[in-house]
Amino acid sequence: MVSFAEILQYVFSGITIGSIYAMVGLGFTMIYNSTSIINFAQGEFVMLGGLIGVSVVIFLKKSGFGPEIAIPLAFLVAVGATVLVGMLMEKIAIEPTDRLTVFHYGALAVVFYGLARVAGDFSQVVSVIIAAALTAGAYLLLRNRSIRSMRNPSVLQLIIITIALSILLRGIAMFVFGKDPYFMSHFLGEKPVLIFGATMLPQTVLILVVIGIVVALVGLFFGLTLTGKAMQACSFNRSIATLMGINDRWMILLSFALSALVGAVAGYVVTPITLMDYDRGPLLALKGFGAAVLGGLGNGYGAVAAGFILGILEGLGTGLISSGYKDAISLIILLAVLFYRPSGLFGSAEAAKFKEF
Amino acid sequence: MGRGNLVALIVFGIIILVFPLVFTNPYYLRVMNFAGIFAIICIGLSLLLGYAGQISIGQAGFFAIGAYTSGILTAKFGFNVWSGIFIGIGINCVVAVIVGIPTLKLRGHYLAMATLGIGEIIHIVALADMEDFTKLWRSLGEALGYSPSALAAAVQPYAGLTGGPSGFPGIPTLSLGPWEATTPEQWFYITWGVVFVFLVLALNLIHSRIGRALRAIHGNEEAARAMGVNTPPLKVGVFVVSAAMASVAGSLYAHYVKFISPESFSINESIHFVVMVAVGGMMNVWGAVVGTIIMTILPESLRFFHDYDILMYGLVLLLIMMFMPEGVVGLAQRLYASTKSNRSG
Repeated sequence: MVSFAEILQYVFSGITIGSIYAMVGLGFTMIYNSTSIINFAQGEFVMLGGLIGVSVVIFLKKSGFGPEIAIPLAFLVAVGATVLVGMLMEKIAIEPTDRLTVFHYGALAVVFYGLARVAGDFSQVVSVIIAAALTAGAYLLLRNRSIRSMRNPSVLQLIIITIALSILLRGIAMFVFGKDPYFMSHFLGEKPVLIFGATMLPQTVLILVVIGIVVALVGLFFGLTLTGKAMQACSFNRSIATLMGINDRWMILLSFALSALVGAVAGYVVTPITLMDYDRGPLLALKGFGAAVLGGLGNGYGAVAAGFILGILEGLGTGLISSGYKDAISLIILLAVLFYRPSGLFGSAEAAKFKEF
Repeated sequence: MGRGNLVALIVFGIIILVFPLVFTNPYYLRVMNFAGIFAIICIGLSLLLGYAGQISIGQAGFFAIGAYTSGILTAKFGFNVWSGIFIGIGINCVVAVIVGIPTLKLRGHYLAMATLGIGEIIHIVALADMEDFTKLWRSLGEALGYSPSALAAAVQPYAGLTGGPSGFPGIPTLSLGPWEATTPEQWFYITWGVVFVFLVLALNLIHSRIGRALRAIHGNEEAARAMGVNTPPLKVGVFVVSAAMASVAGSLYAHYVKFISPESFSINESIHFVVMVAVGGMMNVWGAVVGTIIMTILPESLRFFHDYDILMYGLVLLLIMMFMPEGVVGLAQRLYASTKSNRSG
């Protein structure tokens, strides 16, 4: 028979993975509420938060800073950079426009520079000149062209765009950080805490605290601030919210920023336990999507709770049945919920009927 | 099926016949053979996605069932290759009916999630090694009150059939009597011959009463029901057809590569199939064929960028989806229609 301490141990390890799923699920929910699309690049935010964080920590430690400065500073840099990536993503690929914007030309310039460096093998200075010339040419050619397909993008088109963005971000991460996984030392040491005979790493406690703070802040933001309420109004009915004077494009941009932030925070705090590499995103996105659906798509607290439930089930499955089938166990439970309660564990069936899918 | 499609089919047939005579390089033929195998899956997926309006991100699962059934039956039990193919189709149809009835009640993102989950479960079953398998049956026995060791011993002969993460080799090639498919040219004619046949079947289906009913479902399911279209069996039917097509593709894949491992059947593959259909154009089965060819040749031609090929692949996909969301075939149709109306008007 399995002892209580053993089961508790599996639950603890499940909580650690569950916290990532919870954060990814929360990120999905925010973007889904503002745009009704599923952002398949959500897992990449976690990956970027982790990888940028580790690299900055390594850099700072090399430059002689102690961990008490390096860890918080790297946290800020990682989260800030990932939020920037999320906002750029929205500006370049998601926002409906008639004409190409400065963001598109900026992205184009970077692409031309990269092509000149990699394919043409030119020096840095020459590549900058080539990229500038080509971008200027593209601007002259395209500035008066209206692009019909970007004005009214369909939901499926947007979903595949996010798939493309996820592949692109993975490619960039591989290019910048390489293929090998990154290690990071635990923030508070590795001396485990004993609870009812099971052990818990200080890092796990830290993860739970950080995630509790994030969820509380997000809740306060939506519940108490005017901007948060405006975002909620947009998710209920975008056209009426716009009529009420809410800038819906700004709200969508904000939802991408927030969901990148949540992902990056999770990525940074879990990296010491799970390690991080460029290819981690898709599976996290799948599980996080599962959490978002299980919690009732669009319900943020539901997604967080469902993320932890999925994680704990996975932890128990790994310990009690077999590690090879652990993902199958959480998926079978997910399917069962979908078939018997399609509105999710915490969603309302009436509300689900009115949702656009 | 309309004059345009008939002409296109004849041209397509001639291209298939001539291609290996012009491009004799075995590398090009190999790339095209894989494109053919994927095109078979994408034709089925395009029926489901573009005509019935039901998204499936689990096609790699059906592809895997076909490949593993053929592979295991022929390599480990000495079955004839053809019986392997047909048993694979049979198993896939049964699985698709069982899975399809509850799944297709779902919609949109929920349907995507459910099919994704099913595809991944099939992938995990293929991935599990002997130890996982024995452990699973042991804990099942414990939970159900059987003697764990007796149950484990009873299922032992079936453990490790899939070969776990590393897969298994030694699958025979396709043969008919004394004749065996060995050269890339022969395989080209086999794969693209199957593509051609399935394309004709799909076009016939679309231009039948069933096809019109499917398009009605895509337009608006409630309205279709109100007009007397019995939607549930139709949706499950198309799901089964797409699973059967994926099964044939899987069997061909197993016999062509002669080696299978789970990594060829992961979620990423399922997503690639959706992407192939979307790039070609979802509103047309021809789009599935064109999209598959483009998305198979593209990564190969990007080898030139060495390690940066994944970056370029993402970039090209992004640009196609941003600037021509109707897909390559849709864009071509629109351009053709606009030149025609310019000429007449």
